[in-house]
Amino acid sequence: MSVVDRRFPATPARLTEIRAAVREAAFLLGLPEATAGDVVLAVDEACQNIIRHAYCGECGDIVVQIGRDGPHLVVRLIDFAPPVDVSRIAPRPIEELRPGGLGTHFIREVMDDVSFLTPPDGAGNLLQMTKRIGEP
Amino acid sequence: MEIRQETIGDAVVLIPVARVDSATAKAFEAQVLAAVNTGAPRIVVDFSALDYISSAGLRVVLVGAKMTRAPRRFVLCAMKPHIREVFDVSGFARILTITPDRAAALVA
Repeated sequence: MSVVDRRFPATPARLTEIRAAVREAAFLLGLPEATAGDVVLAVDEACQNIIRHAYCGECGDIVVQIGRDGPHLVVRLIDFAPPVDVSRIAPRPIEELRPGGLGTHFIREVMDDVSFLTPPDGAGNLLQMTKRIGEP
Repeated sequence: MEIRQETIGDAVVLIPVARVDSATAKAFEAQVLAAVNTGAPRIVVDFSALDYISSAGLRVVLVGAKMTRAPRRFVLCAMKPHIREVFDVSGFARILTITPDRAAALVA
C-alpha cells in the first residue's frame, strides 16, 4: 500500500515538491535520516531522467507512488511518455562532463533493485526501485 | 538561486545557498564559469549554506574543476555530512580537492 501516490507535472521546477513528497513518505515509513536522504536523491535523479530523456522537453506528468512491501521500500514512477529504450540507459564514467549517466549511477548505488515493469494501461513507462528497509 | 560571492586575497569564494538541482544548476554553472574566467588563482566553493545537491550540481562542480588548470586551484569546502556523502557515492571525492572548512580551502 502506498503512503504517497501523487501526480506531478514533469518539469525541473517541480522537483522540489517531488522531493518533499518523498521526505514525507520516508517520515511516514519511519526511515532513518540517512536512508531518507538516499531515497530522495534516487527519486530526484530518476525524475530528472524522465523529464530529460522520456519527455524530452515535452509536457507531461509523473506519478510518484511510495510504499512498503514487507521489508522493502517500493518506489514506482509512472510516466506517460513514449516507452524508453531500456538498453540505452547506463551509467557513464564519472569523469565525463555530459549530463546524464551520473544520475543513473546514484540510483544504482542507493537502491537495491531498479527495473522497468510493464506500465499500466495508458502509461508510457513504469520504473520501480526497491530498497531493503527491514521489517515494519 | 542565491549564490553569494566573496573575494579573499587571491581567491574567489562562491557560496551556493539552499539547493543545486536540475532546476538551479544552470544559474550555478554560469556563476562558477564566471568565477573561473576571472583568472583568479584560486576558486573556492563553500558548501556551508547548501542543503541539497543532485547530479546536475555535481556536473557543474566537475566542469569548474576541469576548467581550472594547474597551477590554479579549485577547492571545495565545508560540506554538510549528507552533501559529502553524495560526493563520496559518486566517486567525485576521489578526484576533487575537498577540505573540512574554508580556512583550509584557502591554503589547500
